[in-house]
Amino acid sequence: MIPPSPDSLQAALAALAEPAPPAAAPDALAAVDLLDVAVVIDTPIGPMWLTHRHGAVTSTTRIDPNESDDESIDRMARFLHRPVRRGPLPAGLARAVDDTLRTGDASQLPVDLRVVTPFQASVLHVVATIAPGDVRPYGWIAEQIGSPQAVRAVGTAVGHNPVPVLVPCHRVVRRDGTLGQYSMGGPTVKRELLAHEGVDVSRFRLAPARPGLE
Amino acid sequence: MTATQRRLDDRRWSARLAVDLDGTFAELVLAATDGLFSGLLRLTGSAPDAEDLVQETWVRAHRALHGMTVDQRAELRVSGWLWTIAVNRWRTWCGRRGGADVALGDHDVVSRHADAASTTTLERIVLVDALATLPPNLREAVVLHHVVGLRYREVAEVVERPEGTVKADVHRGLAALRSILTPIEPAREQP
Repeated sequence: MIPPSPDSLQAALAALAEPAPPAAAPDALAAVDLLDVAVVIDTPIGPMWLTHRHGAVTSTTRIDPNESDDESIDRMARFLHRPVRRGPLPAGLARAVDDTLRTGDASQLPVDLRVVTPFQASVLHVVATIAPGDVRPYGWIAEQIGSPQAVRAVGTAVGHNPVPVLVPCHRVVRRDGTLGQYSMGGPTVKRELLAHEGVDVSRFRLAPARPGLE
Repeated sequence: MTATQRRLDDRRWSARLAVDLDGTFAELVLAATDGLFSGLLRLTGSAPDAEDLVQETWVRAHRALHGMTVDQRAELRVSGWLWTIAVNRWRTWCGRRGGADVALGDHDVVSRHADAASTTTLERIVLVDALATLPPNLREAVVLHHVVGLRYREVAEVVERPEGTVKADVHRGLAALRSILTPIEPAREQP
């Protein structure tokens, strides 16, 4: 056995660094209530994933039948740029989520929108004020945030809603009478959600988005 | 990767902690847990104990950050500050056990690491065991400077000893390690 020579001792010491066990960082985040926890909830369009952290909803996403649960959790972690672990939904937050799903009113739901830009978050806060049974065009939101010219940016922000279904981006429609796109399964799911909320969906078309219109 | 390359970019972290404490803290935990674990593993000689101390360090760090003003967070020298907490946890751990004596190196952990470029697994075992025999003040100085990669000035702040004393401790620690390691060699050279 050849021990490290005096010359290589410093290099050998530097090489004594060890990666921590994989659970160490998530355990630490859980200990300070900063770990995102994933849970499956029931919604009007079926079960979906919800993540929460520090008492606020951080994301919702569809359940992909082609993914294992671990793959879904990896996808959520990549989206949030943070570790995610499967776990429970605390009673207080569960009540707030249930109330939002039952009444369609997201204004009291604690959401953490730090994964999007401050501009996008301001758009989503306006989206959260659209009452169930109501729909609003993108241009209306642009006016509400005091940037009537920013219709395209508003469209991008609505499209990046990290909390679809709960923060009701499905209530934002195009002025040309089409429903527009929907991240949670396309325009037909958007129509289904709006019909569930009592919107007369027969007056909307499902035509694909046309460039140049909001 | 050398200890120096593993260093945190303190200025970048403190600027971000100042504006978004919890969001940045989560990223800091992901970035710095390996470094904390490495140092605490070599101080305690025990992976489970090192893991516990890593957890205690992060919980205390999080609480401390929430007690700081934005300006205090912006001024923070993150590596030294984290290690001040970690070394205090280590010293408390020593107190609980009645001393810094550790079981000889954790060989399970040693063998888990197969890709060390500069030493073979056997050499690592010898070195880890030798490190465990150093008195606590020398072990602190050697581990913080050579394994963790803190500068002498930072080690001095962390262990609350003058920089000159820390330099002397590192040199004495290295000399002690060499004296433990070198006598093995000639015996092996016999035909």
